[in-house]
Amino acid sequence: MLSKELTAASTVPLVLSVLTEGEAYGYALIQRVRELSGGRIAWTEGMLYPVLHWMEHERLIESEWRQGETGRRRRYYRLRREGRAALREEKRQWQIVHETLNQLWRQPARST
Amino acid sequence: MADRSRDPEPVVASAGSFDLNGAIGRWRAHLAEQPALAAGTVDELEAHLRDSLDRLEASGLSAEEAFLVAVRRVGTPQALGQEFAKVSPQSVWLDRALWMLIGVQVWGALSGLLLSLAVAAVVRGYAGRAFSESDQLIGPVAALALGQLLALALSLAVCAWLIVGKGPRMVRWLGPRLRNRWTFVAAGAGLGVATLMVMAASNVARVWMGWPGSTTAAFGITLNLVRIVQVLTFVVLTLVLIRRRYGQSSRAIAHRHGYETG
Repeated sequence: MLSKELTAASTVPLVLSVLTEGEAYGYALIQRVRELSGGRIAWTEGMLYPVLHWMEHERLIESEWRQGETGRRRRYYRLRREGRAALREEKRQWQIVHETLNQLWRQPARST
Repeated sequence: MADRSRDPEPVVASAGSFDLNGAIGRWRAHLAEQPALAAGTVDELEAHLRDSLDRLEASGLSAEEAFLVAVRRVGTPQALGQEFAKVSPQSVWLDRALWMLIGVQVWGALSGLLLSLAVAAVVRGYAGRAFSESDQLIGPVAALALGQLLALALSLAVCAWLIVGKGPRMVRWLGPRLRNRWTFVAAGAGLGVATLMVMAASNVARVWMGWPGSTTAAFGITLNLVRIVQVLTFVVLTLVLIRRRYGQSSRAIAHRHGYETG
């Protein structure tokens, strides 16, 4: 399980990344992240929606109410161009952290 | 038989009678109490809950068990309210503005009417009497003050009863109905006419007590026109806010899309 801080910090890049696969509604987003993380990233489900609304307010994503195949009305979110740009920046930053940690962890332990 | 009667909680017996749409409706009402959760947000959370319910029921849970798990996973109304308030402070402000608007209108109409009535009653009561000496005025002035105080107290009490006691239920009832354009127009017209009638009544009371005022007719007409526009603006604004805040009921969605669980 991720720590609370890391969960919070990774929500926006995760949402942006899932939406590159195509538009999705909140429940599907949560399922997709749970599936990819093997259940290790588990959001308090309702807490995703304030983040989605904030991202829409920041014009990273846009939403539309539509009827799905089952007839249920859902709010579908999709990426905007600003969201793709934000994702590129997120990617760059997460890769810095990732590469730095990887290099440190790959080195053989010098002392201890 | 003997064993069954000893069961402390007949869970299985109640499972069949679980009213899912009723439970969802009550859950929605809890959510709607949070000022930061607008009608559209509650709709979205309900769609999520119903997706979650489908999956949980498919995995073998009863409707009631699935409901309990799904509600827990979504999070408590308080926690959700706090998170939404962080990302959209304007929705909290919207809720306050709505109740302030309702308060201003109810208070204005009510206190205006009751004050005019009180003043009119006192002035009429003393009309025709001659006051030669100034200390004879103490009676009428005291009665006037008392009447006004009574009118204020009465307005306050009725206001509190209407807004705090009845208000939330009334707007929850009205909200979904305002989605219909004609209901909206009818409600606006009804409320507008009611407010104007209260205004007219307080004017009549003022005239009746023999206080024609020093204003010219043109000035009076302009003043009244401005007030009519003001009243209608306030009424429409209030209705728009009610629709936005309490716009859609769970039952309306359930019926429209056939989510009956049977």
